[in-house]
Amino acid sequence: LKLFLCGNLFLLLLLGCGREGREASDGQRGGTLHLAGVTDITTLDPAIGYDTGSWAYIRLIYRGLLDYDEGTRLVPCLAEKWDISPDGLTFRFSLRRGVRFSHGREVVAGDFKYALERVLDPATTSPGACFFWGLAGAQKYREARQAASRARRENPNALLDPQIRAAAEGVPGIRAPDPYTLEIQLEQPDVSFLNILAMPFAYAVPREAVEEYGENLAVHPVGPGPFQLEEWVRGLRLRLVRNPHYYEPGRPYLDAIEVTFGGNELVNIMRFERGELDLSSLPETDFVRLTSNPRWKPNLLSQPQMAIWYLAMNTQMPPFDHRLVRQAVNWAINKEHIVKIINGRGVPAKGVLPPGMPGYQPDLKGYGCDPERARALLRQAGYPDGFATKLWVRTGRYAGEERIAQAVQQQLAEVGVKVELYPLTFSVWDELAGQPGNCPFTVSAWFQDYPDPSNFLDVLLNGKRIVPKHCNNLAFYNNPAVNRLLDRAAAMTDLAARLKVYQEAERLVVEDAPWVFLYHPITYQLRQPWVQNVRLHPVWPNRLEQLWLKR
Amino acid sequence: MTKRLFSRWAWAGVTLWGTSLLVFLIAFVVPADPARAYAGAHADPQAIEDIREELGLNDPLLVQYGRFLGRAVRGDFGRSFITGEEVLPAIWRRFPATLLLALGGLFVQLVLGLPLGILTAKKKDTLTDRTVLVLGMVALSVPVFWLGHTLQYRFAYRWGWLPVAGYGGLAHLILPSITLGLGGAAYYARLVHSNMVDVLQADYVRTARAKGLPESVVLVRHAFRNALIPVLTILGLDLAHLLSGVVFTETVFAWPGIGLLAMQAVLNLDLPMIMGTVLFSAFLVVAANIVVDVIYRFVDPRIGEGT
Repeated sequence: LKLFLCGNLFLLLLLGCGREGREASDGQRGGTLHLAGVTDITTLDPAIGYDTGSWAYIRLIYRGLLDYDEGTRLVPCLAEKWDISPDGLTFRFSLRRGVRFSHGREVVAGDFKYALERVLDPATTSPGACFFWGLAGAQKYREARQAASRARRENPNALLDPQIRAAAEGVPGIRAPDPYTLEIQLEQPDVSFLNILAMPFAYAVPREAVEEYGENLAVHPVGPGPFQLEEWVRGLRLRLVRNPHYYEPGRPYLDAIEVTFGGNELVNIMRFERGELDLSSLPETDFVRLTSNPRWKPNLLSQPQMAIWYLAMNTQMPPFDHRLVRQAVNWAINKEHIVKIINGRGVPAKGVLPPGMPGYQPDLKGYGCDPERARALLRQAGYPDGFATKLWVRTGRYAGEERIAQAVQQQLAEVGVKVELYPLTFSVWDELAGQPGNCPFTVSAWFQDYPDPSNFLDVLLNGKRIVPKHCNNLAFYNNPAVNRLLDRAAAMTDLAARLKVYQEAERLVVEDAPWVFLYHPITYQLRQPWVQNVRLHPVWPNRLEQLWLKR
Repeated sequence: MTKRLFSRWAWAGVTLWGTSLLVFLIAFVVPADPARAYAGAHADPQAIEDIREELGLNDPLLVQYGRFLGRAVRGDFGRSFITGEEVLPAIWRRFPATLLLALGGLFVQLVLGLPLGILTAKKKDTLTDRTVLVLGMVALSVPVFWLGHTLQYRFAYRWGWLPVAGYGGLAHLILPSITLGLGGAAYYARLVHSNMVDVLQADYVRTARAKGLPESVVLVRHAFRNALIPVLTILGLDLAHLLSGVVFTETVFAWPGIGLLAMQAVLNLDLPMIMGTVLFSAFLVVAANIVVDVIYRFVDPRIGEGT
């Protein structure tokens, strides 16, 4: 109901401001957008980029089969339509005709096949390779490529085993029967695979560009997206200009996008306020000042992020192997207070899935703050005087995490739990916390790869995914009932029924409390009044192709 | 002299080799995995293993170090694990920015530091001397990021006289140079001050004054030139230090230099880039030492006698 009212209000607003509305659908062309980034972006190679900074610009240069609407629903992009075989194993895409790369050649199905095989080839060292291991024959291809490259390293002139050579030629599960048809076949049904195909790793890449530039494709991108790269001085600036071959008529609105790198958020917000920048993120230190300033209030944008901050309690290490202890810790912590510490830039979490994620359960009760109940549970668990533990805290990556840890320390002290803070550099934390028996209690966070509940529940909490190193299941939580539900859901093709199973699994997880569910972050952005049609997106870092400048 | 220079170069080679070995070993002692840093927090363990294999991180330590050394002597430091950039060209690309900032900083240090040193030596134990001393202590102890942001806030954000940050024309250089040079200026002022005080009591200065030379000539030609020698040593090392990049100033002012590059490399566990930037700094320091050594001999011919 709430949503319905909001929708109507929005409609009224639109009607009320007819002029604005018309302009939004038919924006002015031209102009250069000025942005600033704190660090240079890593790469413009879609096979390699795996961070928000790189995705923001890769998405402007390259394009994939599928895209998202304003929310998390998949819509056609370079694929005009697709269908899924009844057994859920094969996806068949019909490609849009007349789409051209920025160097002029038409995009064909072979470009997608090439891009996917390139990602799967271990020699590419794509951090996204494992997302595509579910493709029919992908594992064999990967092993054959690895064997071939090892053999070549040892003896460049040796003849390869014909079987390996054949397997290294391509992935049988990716087929291009004609230039405008692409068939993707999986080993096991997985409806979330469409989301994986919408990730930048699966964007079309022209083979000739890779052959020409090799590893330097990162700085010589050739894609069918709305923009193309004009100049990139590493560490200094990046300039994108309109791709003359872009297929959507009249788009993009902007002539160019110019990004300068370096400095920090503090510097960038000063530059923004002086009008040197068109969009800016909000540094924590200036958040309250800017959000309460009448000049900027109307130009403030916000978007709940598909992410969660949590405290993982190692369910295989005492005292956290006791469910009542974990529940007690949950009751002892005041999530509202934690959100206040981060300037209200989040919503308290009741479970694992963030709002906006398919399968999110708004009626989930979660754990409120009740220190009395926490103390009772601790008594019941055999810890009437509490206990002592170490909370691992990552430094240097996310602002505010150390303050959250201090708040947790104080709140747990009230129920008799003595917490020692144990700060670690992010990369060291990352290495050590993912090994069993190391880390009793830690601060952590997870940002979605794609909007599907499996990307949270299965990746972070399926006991079958516990590995001795680099384990993402930081609580080492292993409940066979949950594992069964997660495995069942993964193979289901009926979307609605599948979500129900995930919801059931999430309820069990919340009951078992392997984590303290802290909060889901909200991201904020400021725009200058002349920047129009800026909308933040739940999946993408930006959608600058829709934006226009009013003069 | 030639023999001495030769042995200095030989030592320089040993120093660089030792540095490379040390950095390499430290990078491996740190309990963190560069392949994981590269693959991202979401990567599957098998995918990380694949990447380790491709990057050659699974080979024995000695093999990896040998491979690095073999390439390094040919000037090939490999490619960054993270960005795929070739290491040496990446450093060279950032060198002009670092050079400019270093010269700017040095300029501020000298233009402020030397005259203040002479002035306070001349006016020893007066109010001027004390004031400069106190101000100098403040300048030396103020953290760079605080000073940088304060200057930015006043001169760029509030008054709009100068750009807030970034790399461009002369206007962009002013605030970072002051930020970088102010502490150094105080240091040089102190250094020149104490040398000058010593020198001003020397016999040859008394002689110069007795000859009836004007005080300015005595100060600059006779006293200052002799007080300069220790300054020169520090100056050479300072320049080498500045040229290897100044992390804080570069970060505060979005200055795309080597310091920023090195900082990023360390945070990302980008081994080839860490090796490259550290060795580059080590090389500069070693080279500066040799250059200073040579210049020294010209300024003070007594040095090097008997070698």
